[in-house]
Amino acid sequence: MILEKVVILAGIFLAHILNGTTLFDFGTNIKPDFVIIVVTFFALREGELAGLWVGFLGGILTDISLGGEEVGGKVFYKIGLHSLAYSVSGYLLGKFGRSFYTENYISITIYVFFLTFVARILTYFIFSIFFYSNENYSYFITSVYNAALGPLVFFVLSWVYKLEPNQRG
Amino acid sequence: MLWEQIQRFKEFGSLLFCIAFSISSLVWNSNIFLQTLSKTGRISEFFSSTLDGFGSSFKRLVMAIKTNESLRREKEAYEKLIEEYKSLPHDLETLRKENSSLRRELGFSVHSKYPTLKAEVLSVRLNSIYRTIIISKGRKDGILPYMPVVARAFTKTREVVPAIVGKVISSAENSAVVQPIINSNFSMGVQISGNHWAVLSGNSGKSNLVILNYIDSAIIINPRFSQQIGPTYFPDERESIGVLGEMVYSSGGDGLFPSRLPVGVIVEEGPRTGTFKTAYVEPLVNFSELEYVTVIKKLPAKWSEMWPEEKSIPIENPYYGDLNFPDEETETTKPKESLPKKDTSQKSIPSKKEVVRLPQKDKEKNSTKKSVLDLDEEYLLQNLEGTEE
Repeated sequence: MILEKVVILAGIFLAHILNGTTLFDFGTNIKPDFVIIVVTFFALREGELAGLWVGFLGGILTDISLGGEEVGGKVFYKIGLHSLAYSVSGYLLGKFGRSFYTENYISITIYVFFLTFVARILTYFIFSIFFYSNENYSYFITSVYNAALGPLVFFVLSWVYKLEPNQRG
Repeated sequence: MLWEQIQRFKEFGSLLFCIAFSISSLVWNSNIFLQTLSKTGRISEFFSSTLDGFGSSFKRLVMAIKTNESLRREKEAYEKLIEEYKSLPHDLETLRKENSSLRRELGFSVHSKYPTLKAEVLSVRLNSIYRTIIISKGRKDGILPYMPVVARAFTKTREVVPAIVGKVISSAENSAVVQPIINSNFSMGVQISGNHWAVLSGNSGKSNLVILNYIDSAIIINPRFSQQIGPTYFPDERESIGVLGEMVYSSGGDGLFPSRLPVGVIVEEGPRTGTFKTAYVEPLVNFSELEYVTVIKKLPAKWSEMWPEEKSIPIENPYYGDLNFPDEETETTKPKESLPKKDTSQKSIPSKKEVVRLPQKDKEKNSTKKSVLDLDEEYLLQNLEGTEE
């Protein structure tokens, strides 16, 4: 039980590390978001609670990587931004999207696209509320690239975690 | 019993915890817990950069194998060409130029006035909502917030220049966070087309470009689409040539970046904002391929200019009167006997109420003696009367 959770944590960490590399860059500025693919996987395979916690931990790691900003001798962080967006998205997908899900390439692509798009829009709104309006954040391109990579990542994750599509948490 | 109760509210409790933790972290975004948490970020950055290193080495190896044969052929061809060039008299000049450019490249002195420090890029998070670059040097090496960061870049003429990457926004013991110019919160003063100034902002709405705001409307950015708005204006010869493709340099006016550091090239005219023009700039630095940066150890300069005391204008009566709401109109126009005497010797600006209540005959009487002050006042009166109507 504990070992399973450790392996899941390692998976989230690996996804976060991959987000920080330039290995999967497509063109100059198109990058995938592996953390959200992992969130989609666990939300669909293990339910809303797994989606919530995987989203939360993956989001925390993403927030930590944003670093702090020193203003007037005080450092301000953006922790809570992605953790909120990813955990809520993962929870909602696990709660409501799971019953309509059937395992095939097309549905994986659609689900990954949908969750990436929703999570990024949510991130944008939270950022706008707590900080300022960011015009440079890309929703669509990253969602499309994530959707293209989704089936491959799902295949790898299914093999690693030995989770069948019909398994319920 | 208790365990069953906990299990029942497990889902709701988890959701509540995640939301409450995230929101409280966003609201109180500078507490000790978050500081400790953020320090763990260095571990993942280390793994990311290591993996990146392996990946790029593999990519390079594959590329090297692919291009090996073609390079060999090209090398042979170039060797023949070099032999031919050696016999040409003008070859000497070419070699001199090449020599000087190579010397410049080897030297790469960023800014002789300030000490510099090279740092390795640990990660570039361009996909994130708040784009940052993590570098391998920190407070221990003397890196402090607001220090400018530059990197080698090529201009159109293949000249190597130290182009602006961004500025340090926070520094830990062994690492620092750099805010790149493509970060949506970045802004700096820049110089374009000789002596014109503009404000560069990372919040351009285009992922790879930055935007220049507050460009003087007299500057023609793209001559093909330029239209003359307002009164007839004859631009001088220099301004009539569009600035598209021109280099943008740091102004040095904000005290953060040394002046004349290249930033990027103007690539597109942007939408007008009021009387100002905007333009999109492509940074010289390729952020996705950034491996090393140079931090200029320069702290922001103190403001050298203060508003001189003798230039300050004393305002005797800064009170401009109450706001005139429509229902108060009758009340404000009634009492004519309370009108103030017009005193031209005083230089204080009359309040709005005072100006409005000035009788017509007084105005006519005074119109015969026209000083500069009177003309200004008359202009003010006309304007205010217009607004009152």
